[in-house]
Amino acid sequence: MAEVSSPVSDDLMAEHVRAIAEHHDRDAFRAIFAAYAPKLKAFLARGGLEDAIAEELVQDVMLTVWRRAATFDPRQGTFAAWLFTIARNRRIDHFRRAPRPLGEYPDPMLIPEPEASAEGLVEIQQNHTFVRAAMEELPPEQIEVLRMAFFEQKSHSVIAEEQGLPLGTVKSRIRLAMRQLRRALEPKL
Amino acid sequence: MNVRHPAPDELLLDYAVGATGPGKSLLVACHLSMCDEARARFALLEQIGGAVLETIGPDRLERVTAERVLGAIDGETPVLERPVRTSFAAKPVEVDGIPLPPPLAAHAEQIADRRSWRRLGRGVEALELPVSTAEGKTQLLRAAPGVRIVEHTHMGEEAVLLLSGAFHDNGERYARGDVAVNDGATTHSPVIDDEDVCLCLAVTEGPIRFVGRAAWLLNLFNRF
Repeated sequence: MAEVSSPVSDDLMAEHVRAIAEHHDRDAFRAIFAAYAPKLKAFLARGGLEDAIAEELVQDVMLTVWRRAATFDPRQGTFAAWLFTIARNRRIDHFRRAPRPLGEYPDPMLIPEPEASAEGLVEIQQNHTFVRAAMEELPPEQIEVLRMAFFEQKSHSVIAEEQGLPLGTVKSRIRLAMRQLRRALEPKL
Repeated sequence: MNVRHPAPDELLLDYAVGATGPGKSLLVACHLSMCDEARARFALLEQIGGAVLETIGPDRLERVTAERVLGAIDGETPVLERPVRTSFAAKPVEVDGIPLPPPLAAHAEQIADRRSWRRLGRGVEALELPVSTAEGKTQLLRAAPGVRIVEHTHMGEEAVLLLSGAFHDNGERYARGDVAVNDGATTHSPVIDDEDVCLCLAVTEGPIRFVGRAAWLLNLFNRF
């Protein structure tokens, strides 16, 4: 497993994204690239992509960061989470396109999100910076399931199968982790 | 909308990481458009995704550099306008007076066309949507008020999203926006409420098996 690296400052990244959106700041882009492109490559490679393809997708994701910089809203969540959703969607596209055409259907991931209710929005804004800290309090077996799911783009049933765990065990680890995170974040409301 | 049975966390997680096939993706997308609680949990899952991404150690890039990407965007300016978010409430698509969640709107014509439905049993009709893949069947199920579905169990997982009407199942009531997930561990016989037609979106991974009296005969003709 790759070594764990220290988190990058969200505020700094948010400023860089704004600088790209407002005055096409190339240095801001270089700073984001330096901080995140190598992580993105590791993320995509862990998802089972060949090296060359992982790099191609990194380029696509970074292009999207430049092109869609104005759509990033720091009140909705961290820069890393925004980047994660771009990488995830790009990876979904890749797999959908590559091995087998699945026919025509609307891509639910591309459907715009509904307006968050005012209440929900406040909740998200105030919580997102605490997620990382709250995750550190989770038991290792719960963290492991979340990491496998996010890194390797695996469903919980595939994780159960591969780890030789009963499906119910994996489900309860996910539910317990979510319950603990929600509880940990509640006092911040 | 307040929903009593939000999708279970593991289903939201599968969707958040991009591990659901088209059928379940459609189901979760519809559910998210209807359920505040699920949306809040999904937002949390995406924040977790960001936190996980940050913990990963870097891989050396062999070919792609910041300069190469900047070269590719030369002459391009970033989109400066914030795209207008389409409000889900803006344009409800209705079929038979039942508002469809936006991700289903693309199928509205097919859903409204009576000829695309086939009879499954007394008071139950199904329409298979063209999003079925190896993961299983994606169907709309329509059940008449008061119908009791013959007791059955599942050979794979079944996720059901209620679009209208309501049913009772194993002591719980499910109504619009609710998600019920069942697999081989449950045997059930849902009963549709008396007032309204019940419309569901169901993604099934395997066939169902009827249990109880005359089950062998029903299984013989089982087309669920």
